Amino acid sequence: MTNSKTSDHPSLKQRAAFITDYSAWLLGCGATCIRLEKNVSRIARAWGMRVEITIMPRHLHMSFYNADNDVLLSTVLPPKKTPVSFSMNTRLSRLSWQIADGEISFSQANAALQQAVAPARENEWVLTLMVCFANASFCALFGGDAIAMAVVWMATLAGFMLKIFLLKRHCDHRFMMFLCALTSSVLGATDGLFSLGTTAAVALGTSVLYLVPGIPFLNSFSDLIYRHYVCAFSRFTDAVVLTSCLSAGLCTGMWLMNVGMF
Amino acid sequence: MSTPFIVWSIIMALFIIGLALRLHSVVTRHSKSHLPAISTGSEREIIYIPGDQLHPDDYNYDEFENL
Repeated sequence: MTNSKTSDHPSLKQRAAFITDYSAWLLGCGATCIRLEKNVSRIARAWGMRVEITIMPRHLHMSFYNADNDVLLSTVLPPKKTPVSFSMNTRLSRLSWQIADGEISFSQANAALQQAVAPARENEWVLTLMVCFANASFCALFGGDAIAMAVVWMATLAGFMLKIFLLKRHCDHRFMMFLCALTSSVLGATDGLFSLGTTAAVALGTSVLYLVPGIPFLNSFSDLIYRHYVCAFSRFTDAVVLTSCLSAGLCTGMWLMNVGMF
Repeated sequence: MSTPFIVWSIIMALFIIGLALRLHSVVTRHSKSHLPAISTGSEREIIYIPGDQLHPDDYNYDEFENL
């Protein structure tokens, strides 16, 4: 194996450890199975190896082969527990291309991996405000008036702040969904409670849209298309459970606010 | 008062308190003086009459023995 940058000669175990760690981070940050397969194969090919991956919902089993197809070693690792992050996904994918193009050496790849998986310092307030405006825009898309949009903005602010607070304290995601949906739906019923505006139902319905687990649903369909049925079903089940908790919170809020379902 | 109004009031009050606490922590973190907005102290710090001892330990208790 030769590199265009400074030559270093990692052992087979080191290369396998890097690829295993890389895979655990990529799966943990919300990548689909096909992306994981392609990125890992690209890196392994660049380093003169072949890798077979068994992707399970809670574990990754990887077998590394050399050019002669002798089994070198196998590793098993759970996905890293990290929030879904498009930016981490992009950085890791870019790293795989850098390795494949021979732009960086093994030691540089290790350093780049640590940088890629470092938690991003996002401004919580900017993120919160953007989510509020996005959800208010959804309200307008569904025919809400200005008062409904303002109510949804306020309800989203309360729910999203509660979500950040609970996630920092490692609260169970299902319970967090229920509480945030309850909070947003109660505040989303403001215009109906005080007879403000003309689209109270739209405000109530769109006040919880920011909680919908879109990425798990999309990833499950992607895995289904590429015939990773176990992961597809697992992700779909996870998304359905979260959506059920969201619905329970919304229904509880509607019941408390005496809002009819039909 | 109806149940929806009570529930709404509780949630809104908790939201306003939470928002105020969050803004307060952000402001104090970025404040140069780092003085808390709310603090407790003794009345000696608020009302001072010349001759008062600044610290309670400064009182000379021997003065009172002769009374």
